[in-house]
Amino acid sequence: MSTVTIVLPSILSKATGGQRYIRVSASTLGDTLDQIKSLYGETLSKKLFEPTGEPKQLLSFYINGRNARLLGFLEAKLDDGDEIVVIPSVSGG
Amino acid sequence: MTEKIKALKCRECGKTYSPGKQAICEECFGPLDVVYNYEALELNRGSFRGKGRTLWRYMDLLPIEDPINVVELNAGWTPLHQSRRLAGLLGLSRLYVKNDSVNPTGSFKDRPATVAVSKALELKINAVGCPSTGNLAAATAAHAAKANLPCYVLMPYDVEPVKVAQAAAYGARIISIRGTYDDANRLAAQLSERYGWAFVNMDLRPYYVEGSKTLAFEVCEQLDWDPPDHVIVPMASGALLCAVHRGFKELAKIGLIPERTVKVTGVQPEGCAPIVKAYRSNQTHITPLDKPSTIAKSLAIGEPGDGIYANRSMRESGGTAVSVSDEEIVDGIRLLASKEGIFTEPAGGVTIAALKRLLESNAVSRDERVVCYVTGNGLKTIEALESSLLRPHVVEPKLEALETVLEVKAQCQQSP
Repeated sequence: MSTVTIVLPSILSKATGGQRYIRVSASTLGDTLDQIKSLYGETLSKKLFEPTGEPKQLLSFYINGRNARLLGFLEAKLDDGDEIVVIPSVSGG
Repeated sequence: MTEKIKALKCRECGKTYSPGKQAICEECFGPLDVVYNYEALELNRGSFRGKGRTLWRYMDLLPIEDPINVVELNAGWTPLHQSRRLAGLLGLSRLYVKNDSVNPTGSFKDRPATVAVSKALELKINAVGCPSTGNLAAATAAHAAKANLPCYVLMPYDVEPVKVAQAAAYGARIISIRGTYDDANRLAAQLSERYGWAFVNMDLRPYYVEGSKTLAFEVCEQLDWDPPDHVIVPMASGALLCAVHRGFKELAKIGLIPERTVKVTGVQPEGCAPIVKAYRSNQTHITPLDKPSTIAKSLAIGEPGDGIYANRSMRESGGTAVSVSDEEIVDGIRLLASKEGIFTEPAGGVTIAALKRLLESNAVSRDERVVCYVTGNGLKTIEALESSLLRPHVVEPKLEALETVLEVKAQCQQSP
């Protein structure tokens, strides 16, 4: 297990009581999201995941600045101190 | 007086919001679109006669409530050339080129920039900026200069030097990111989160994209309100294609053009074609591309934010998606310049290259009335052509030397 920080967009902070920087112990991105789910329950889960259980397509997840979908996504391995940034993907260009 | 904008509406779940500085739905993260009070509009084809020769002639259909906020550098109302020589060469009956390279800063990006910076004034935002592959940087910086707003630009380090110099000349604060456009885009999103800044193509996106739909309006008006059969649009994020499609639909909705579908086809360079790949494999999501590699740097976006919507637009309209190689892009640039006198950057070359391909595969039929959108000026990217153009001969300043190179020998007239 590694200690990692997940940074949520402010648009999600209502579901976490205002918390945007959340530290958890996890070994993969999938683990991290599971931890967040159990910490903040259904309200946040509904925002982060499709009804199928997959993370929402309209959210991008970056591990230390690299798109997690290029790193194995939910299986992406994490090290101590890694930072996961979540950003709504409708932007740019 | 009724306000022009009724609401911002989520493209995914339909939730509505009051029109402010917001681009994303709080429920589902879908993009927000401007919804107008169409019922309060009294427009007919004659409404535009005598209006200014800029995109602001469509002020009634643009998301600025008070004309005093309009930041005007005369973007838009660019020429629509009937391209007979190129059409003849390709075997097409009617081809038009919408030459947006003659906008104030040399690209179509002046359209979304003029609208977004105007909206920034209207919303009393005190600084603007953008992540950019180059063209938006200049467009935003120029309009910000005119509006007396500070402008912050994040660009990948390998953007063409002319584009950096141009944005810098307008006074923008430019940060060059040692990474891709997608890195610049992510960092801009993080800055916006942390400091509440207004990046025009992110935080003001619902308004920003409205500027680009005027590319559809102008083509229709320039064709005497008889829309083309098929348009070919370059794609980076996919936002331009969505805006053009939306523009045609909006004109039909308010009765200015017949309810006839305009096919909208999108093109990407082979070295950065995540939208085309998703289209071909019928995917409902876009697989991001880590390292785009193409001479069409203004199209080098590996994580296209509007990709899924561009695919929807292409399918709904009956168009298609195509990718072209860098060699085809250079050929497209040279063809357009040498046959029609229009010098475009690679993003414009892709549409000509795509048209050739589409005609060969019969995806465009020879009797269709086609418009190719040429979105940026060739002077911004001369390095794209450096290796493919013949170098000029250098000769001594003597007539004989010229005659030798030109392989001519004049018949000397001797007086009797």
